[in-house]
Amino acid sequence: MATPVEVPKLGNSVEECIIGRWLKHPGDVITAGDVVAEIETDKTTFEVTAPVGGKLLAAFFEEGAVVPVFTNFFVVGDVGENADAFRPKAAAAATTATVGVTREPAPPAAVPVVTGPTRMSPRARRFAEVHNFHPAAIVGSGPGGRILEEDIRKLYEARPRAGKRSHLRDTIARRMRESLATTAQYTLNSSADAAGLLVMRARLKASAGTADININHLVAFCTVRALAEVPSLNAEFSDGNIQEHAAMHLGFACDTPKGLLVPVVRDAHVLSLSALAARMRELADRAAAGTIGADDLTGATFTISNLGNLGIEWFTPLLNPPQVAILGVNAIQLKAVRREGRVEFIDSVGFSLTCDHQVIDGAPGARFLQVLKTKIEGVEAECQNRF
Amino acid sequence: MPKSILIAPQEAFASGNIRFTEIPMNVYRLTPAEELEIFPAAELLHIWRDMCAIREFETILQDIKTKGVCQGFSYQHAGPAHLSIGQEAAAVGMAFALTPDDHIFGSHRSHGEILAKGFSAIRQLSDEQLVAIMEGYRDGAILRPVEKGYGGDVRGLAERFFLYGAYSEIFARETGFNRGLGGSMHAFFTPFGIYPNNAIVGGSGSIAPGAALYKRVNRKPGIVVANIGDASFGCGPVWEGITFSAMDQYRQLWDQSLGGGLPIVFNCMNNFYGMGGQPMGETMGVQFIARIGAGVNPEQMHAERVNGYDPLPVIDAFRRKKQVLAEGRGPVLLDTVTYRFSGHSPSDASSYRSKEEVERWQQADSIPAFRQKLLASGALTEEALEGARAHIQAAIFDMFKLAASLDASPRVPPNSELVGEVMFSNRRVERFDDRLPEFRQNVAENPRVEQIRAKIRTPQFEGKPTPKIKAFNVRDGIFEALLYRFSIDPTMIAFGEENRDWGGAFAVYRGLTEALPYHRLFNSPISEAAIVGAAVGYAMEGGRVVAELMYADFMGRAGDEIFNQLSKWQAMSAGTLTMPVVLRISVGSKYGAQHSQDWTALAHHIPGLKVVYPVTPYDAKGMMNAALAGTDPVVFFESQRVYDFGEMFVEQGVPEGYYEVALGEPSIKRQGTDLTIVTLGPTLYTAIAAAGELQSKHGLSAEVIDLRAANPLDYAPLVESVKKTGKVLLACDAVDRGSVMQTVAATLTELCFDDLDGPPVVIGARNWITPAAELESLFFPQVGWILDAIHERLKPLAGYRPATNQSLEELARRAKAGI
Repeated sequence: MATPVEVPKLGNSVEECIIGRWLKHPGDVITAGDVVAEIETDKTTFEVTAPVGGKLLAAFFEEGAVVPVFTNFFVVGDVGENADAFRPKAAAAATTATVGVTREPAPPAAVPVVTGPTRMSPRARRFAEVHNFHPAAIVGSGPGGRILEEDIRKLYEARPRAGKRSHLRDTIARRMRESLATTAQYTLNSSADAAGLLVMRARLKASAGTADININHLVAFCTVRALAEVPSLNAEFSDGNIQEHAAMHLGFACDTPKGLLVPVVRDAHVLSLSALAARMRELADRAAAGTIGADDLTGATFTISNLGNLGIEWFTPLLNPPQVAILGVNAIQLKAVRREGRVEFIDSVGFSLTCDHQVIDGAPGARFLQVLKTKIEGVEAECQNRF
Repeated sequence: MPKSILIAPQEAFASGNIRFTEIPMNVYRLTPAEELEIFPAAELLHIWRDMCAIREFETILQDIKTKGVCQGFSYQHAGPAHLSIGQEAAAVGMAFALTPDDHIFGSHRSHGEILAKGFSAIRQLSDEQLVAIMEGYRDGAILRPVEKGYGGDVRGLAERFFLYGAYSEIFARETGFNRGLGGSMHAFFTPFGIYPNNAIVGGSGSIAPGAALYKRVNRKPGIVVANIGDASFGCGPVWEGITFSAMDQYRQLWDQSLGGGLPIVFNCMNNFYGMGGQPMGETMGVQFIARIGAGVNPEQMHAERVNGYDPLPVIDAFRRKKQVLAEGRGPVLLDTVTYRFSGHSPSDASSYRSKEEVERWQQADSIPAFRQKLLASGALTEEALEGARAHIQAAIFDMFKLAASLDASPRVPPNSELVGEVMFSNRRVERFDDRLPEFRQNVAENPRVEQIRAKIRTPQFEGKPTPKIKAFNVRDGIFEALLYRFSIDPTMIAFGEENRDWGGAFAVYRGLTEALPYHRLFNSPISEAAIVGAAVGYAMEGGRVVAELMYADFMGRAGDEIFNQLSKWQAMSAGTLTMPVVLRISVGSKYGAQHSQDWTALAHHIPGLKVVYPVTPYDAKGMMNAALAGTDPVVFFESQRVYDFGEMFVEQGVPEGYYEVALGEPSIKRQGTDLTIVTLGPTLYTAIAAAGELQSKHGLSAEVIDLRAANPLDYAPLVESVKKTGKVLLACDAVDRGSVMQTVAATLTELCFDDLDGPPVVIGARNWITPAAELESLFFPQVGWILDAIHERLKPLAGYRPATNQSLEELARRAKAGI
């Protein structure tokens, strides 16, 4: 009866051993107790002896192979017995050397059996070359673990997709890194009562000519009005120079299928609410369609980024250098306030203003937010003259 | 076999004696005066001159072989030269009595015979005929160098043409009769009635009867002479040829208007020696070759021993024997006594005979003796004789020098493809003659044709697989193809063992007995060498023939005829001969070690044979049609396993009309994507079953390709399939060692190396004798072996347990053990 011998577990933490040296070879006659092989861990070398006498029918790994413990690594038995039943499942590093099933005590079969860690068929090899695909470990389903084309093809088709890195993505990535690296940006959070916004929005929606003006447009309009009173935030900082701008070119963030685009409404300070809304809508459409030109994406003096419709409560918008400020607009949430000694719940819209501390200190930034709050809460009046 | 011959027990038990009559030896008794009355002086001068011509021709060859120079002209001849110096009288006498319609076949020592026959024919043909022959033969290639600067008459030109063509052939020049591909031992020239000589001793003995058969069957004038040596009567094929020629049926069963017994003379040029072995006194027991006639038939083959050292007795004997043949009483055996002074070959040291013996024969030299006779009788003057001798010697020497000149007589260039181009003729001949093919009945009323009419030719009938008993099967397909060509080509005949009456051992010919007269379908003796040899001779004469060997195991019996004759004559003749022979060979089944072997490998190994093995009705009919329309020898293997199989692959079934399947084109019998199984022979059906299991149990889609042929073989479809699947297994019922599949596997490895997921796997029968039918599954490839081998060597199948050992270790073990 052919007897397999496993790699022993030489210690609690030992999970695998290296086959160090074969002292017997397939076909050799073995007596019980003969040392057949030496195996090594990182601490010791151990001699593995044959439990029974007979012939070494099979040695399943080459010297230097790393084999998990409890894996069959050689078989002792009588001539004619089949060692194949004890062959461990083919692993990428598995090699075999077996003696033929002889009918008589003939000298060991000098049968050259495939050896080597990666036995790829020519067809599989060609696939790897053509697809420039050389995975570290392939399990072969061919005889003796031979790697067939289908084995490498399966891995190739299941590979994680890198996905297409668009140029836009690269650009955004670079600019965002630069923004964080070259400015001292901080974010101030405040909020305003949104009741006026909501009432005005409802009124605008009811009328056909104004139905397309939304809260985002109202907030943008108020922001432009606030900037007129706190012009220090409508500035650029580059090469150590601060440049305040009289004109306000308002950039507003759009989430498009291609990624973040920031169309720019030029001279927003002269536009009425409806004109501003119309321009913003037109630019947003083109950005979404991918037809917006480069000229409409540059030259902003101030940016507004609204993540409110995505449920964001507070966030830290990143500056678009050389601009010195960017206003983030958050979702309208329920907030408890104290009014005339009573606690009331109001709809409150959050603002997250990021400023460049190299230019704008906290107090001026905060003062801008106060102005903005006033305008938001009095939006109806704000828009009256400039409809 | 024919029921008309009743074998009555009483006759078989009757007592009595077999009577023999005396066989005459050297009975020629004419006096010179009587001879002069028969032979005008002019004829005697021709005889004299022809003998001198042969002597000169051979002497030049002997000089250059032994000394490298002749009359001051140096030439090294690398090839063989089996000279017949001393035998001139026998050759000249034989040829003198023959006409251009009489065809001679020779041995390896036949220069003298071909020269004598050439001169004889030249004298009998008109100037117009001679010019047409010389201009027509290879578009005048041999004539051009000869006619340059020649100012004599047409006869003289023809003689020079002939001498030059012969020398050129011996010296392997393009201007030789066979463009240098035949050489000394195969030189021939059919326009003068000179048919091939043969390097195989006795080779003409089995081939010449086929030529005589052609004359009989096709009612052509002339006789056939097989000039073979005394030692060749030790060869089996010679005996078989004699037996074939002496069959009773020619005179007792055949249409007597054809002419009776075969018109053939077996002329033994008895020079007392083989190479060095001596039949008389040492290696045979008959003492006189003529005695053999007594053992062949009651006429004792009209055997006679003739003095071949005097041309006139030889002429006399041939004239008398021609008459015997004309009366339909052939065959004839002549024992022509002669002797060669020259050795077997120039390297012969004559250690097997004494100098005294040679000298005594030289003293009896026929040329001085004839000269003496002519002078003594006053028939011719010395001047006339010497003048004639000098004249022909000069012509011969001139032609020798012309043939030896590499400028005038080049060899094919070193990179020539000539041999490749002439291995196969690849021509198409619908009919080899224009007369009406002979039938005994209206073919439409033939019982077999009627039986076939009711058969179903498609794989499916009314939605179900066609039952075997109703199916148009493989043997029906072969029958239809044969019947078609029988009705187109009047020269086509078929013969073999148990062909007539029995209808062939496997019933392929059933119905043909009723359809065809005897001379188109007849039984041969159990003489495989004669069967194939006669087919070769028949084809050489220009007729189409289907010969049958009942079992592939009997190919050994016809070994020389298949491997040295049938396969080589097209090339050795540089394409002047074609070989429209289909050799049907049946591969046995369930008949044990000596009756079940598939020897396709042997036929495919020897160059010059087309080898096919169709196993479906559609393929069998189409390929037999293609073979019977061509001009090349086709070894047509058939499997006894599948004769009764219906068509299972071609949806539309086997067409009733004529169609061809090109020889050498594999066919995809089952489409697949995961692995390719290639088969040759009935293993196709095993592979189809294996493919079914692979699909249903293992989800593997196998493509099965039937090679249908071993040579030629178009690899394109195989390569395309392997490129698709990456894995190929080749299976056949022949033993695997040296099988056709090994050749295909090795070639596919070369052609598809980078497409392969694993090496091609060959599965054949075990390299053993075939055991009894009950033990067949031990020996022949089984469905399980194919799956086991796929599992072991190409793609392990999940959960599969092989029942047999198809491992590489086992492959190596068997090889080492020689099994």
